[in-house]
Amino acid sequence: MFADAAYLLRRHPVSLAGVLLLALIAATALAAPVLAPASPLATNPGDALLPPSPRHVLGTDDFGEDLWSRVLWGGRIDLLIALGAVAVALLSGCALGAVAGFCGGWIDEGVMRTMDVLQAFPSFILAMGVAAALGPSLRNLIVSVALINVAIYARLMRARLLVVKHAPYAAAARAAGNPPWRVLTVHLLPNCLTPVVVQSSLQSGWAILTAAGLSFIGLGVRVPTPEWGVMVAMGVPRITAGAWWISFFPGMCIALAVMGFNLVGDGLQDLLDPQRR
Amino acid sequence: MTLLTFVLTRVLPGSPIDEIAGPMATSQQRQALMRHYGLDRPLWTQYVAYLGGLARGDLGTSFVTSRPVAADLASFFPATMELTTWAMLLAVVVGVPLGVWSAVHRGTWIDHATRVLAVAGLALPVFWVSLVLIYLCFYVWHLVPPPIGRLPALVTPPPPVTGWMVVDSALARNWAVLGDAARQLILPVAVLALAAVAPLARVARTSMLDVLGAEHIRATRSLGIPWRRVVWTYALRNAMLPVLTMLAIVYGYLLGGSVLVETLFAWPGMGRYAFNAISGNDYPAAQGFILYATVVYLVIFIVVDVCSAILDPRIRT
Repeated sequence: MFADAAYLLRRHPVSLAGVLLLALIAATALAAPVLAPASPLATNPGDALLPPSPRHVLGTDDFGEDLWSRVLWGGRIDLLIALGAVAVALLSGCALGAVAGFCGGWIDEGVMRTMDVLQAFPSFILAMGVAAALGPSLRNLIVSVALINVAIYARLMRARLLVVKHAPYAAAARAAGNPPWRVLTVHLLPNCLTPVVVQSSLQSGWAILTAAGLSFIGLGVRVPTPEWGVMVAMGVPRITAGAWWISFFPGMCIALAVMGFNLVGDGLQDLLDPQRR
Repeated sequence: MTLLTFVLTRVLPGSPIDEIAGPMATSQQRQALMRHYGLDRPLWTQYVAYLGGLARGDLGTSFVTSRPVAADLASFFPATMELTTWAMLLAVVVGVPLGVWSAVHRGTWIDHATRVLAVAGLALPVFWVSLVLIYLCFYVWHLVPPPIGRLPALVTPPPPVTGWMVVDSALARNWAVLGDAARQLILPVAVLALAAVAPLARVARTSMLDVLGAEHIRATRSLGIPWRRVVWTYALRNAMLPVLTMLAIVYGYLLGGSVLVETLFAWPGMGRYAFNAISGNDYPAAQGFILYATVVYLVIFIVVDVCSAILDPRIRT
């Protein structure tokens, strides 16, 4: 495991950059209460729309809120959304895929056709519909971003399970008298997780982009929550007046976080695919 | 699929009646409106009525514009189609050669530069890139017109034939309007294309590498056919199949991105229509958009499948 990780980082300096980037973002987000000079919600009309300066490193927005503090706190929310959405999608998708692949028959048909329907929609548009239906809130945002990824995990899991289901060790586990659920959870599932893990890193990046996009059009968390997508949206009316900093910095954080996840995901994919070594 | 969109939009919080009736309406007026739009009936009867309408090509009537949704979408569709198609063309013209180029020069700085570009292109949020470009190209450098839709204010649009501003003005031989329309297109198209270039370049690179390693390519090389020709004629055709599939996926991505880009550029397309519909609880309109976008997406997938069959005789059965 550690040898693999070391190999990966040596072979792929880019993945190392990704790991460092993510670590940096996570650390600053966790340390936000210590690092942030002001509360992310402290308004100060007298300081509205100030450009970046030594006093406000990244400037201030319409309400005089300090953007540096908001960007730091925003990291918590965006990482929470990404990891939350991926965790929800992973758990439900894997469960569905595992049951479908293990049981087969009409259960398999039913689950996989439902997944087909989910994948027939362009993903952002489906997320939009779900987010609008559920109403704007942090929890609903996580649910709608998760929903568009469920099908990917279900498919991966089912495909993998169909392969290992007929392996000799599965037959041995059954012959030893294990009930079916035990064969599935103890003997088969651990052997199906590798592709799922790789997918998760790439999906986390997508999750941040989708969540920020939804918040940007008002379907996610709301102003004044320090979420990067919302913060970009707050700067829109000011951009043609020259106040570029309000939208620029939060958007850049989104880009950096997504890039971090993608670089790590790429590296993992290379590591697990011996053909590409 | 219709059931999902129907249920999704019906459980939207808030009622469209609030939007139509306004805050001054009495409860009797509201009841009458509910009955008029059939919203007082049970959900399943509403759904059956909706399906019956769908079968006749009727997507319902928008609560806000009071026009049939199908007509609304049809009038907004060309604007979106024009935007996404130009973006797609630009992305293919840039992305595919870029992918092929980095495959041929695998491991050199060209390959690495393309890889960095692809990673960046995938990571940049579309709405943020739009804002940065609007700021730089419009506010700072004055390179492009303001983001106010398909034509500058005070310009009379050409008579609609195809609904594509560029094509229509060319058909009307109105070169001034053609130039105006093209200038309005530059920025939104560039933003959407940027997002689409990355996945295309990556797929083109991977599949080109696979093909270049194949036996028949080595055979053509040993026949003394120039390398350039081997790459661009023999290998390219085989390498294009995964790229085609990717095109369909990317198109779905562009449709989603169009919601964000159209909102920012005041582009009168389906995306902005959907955005307004969702924020105004306009069920039939939101439903219509989700359905329309999905149908367009599926049609693109079918077209791509047919193209794959034409390119690859092995798929035909």
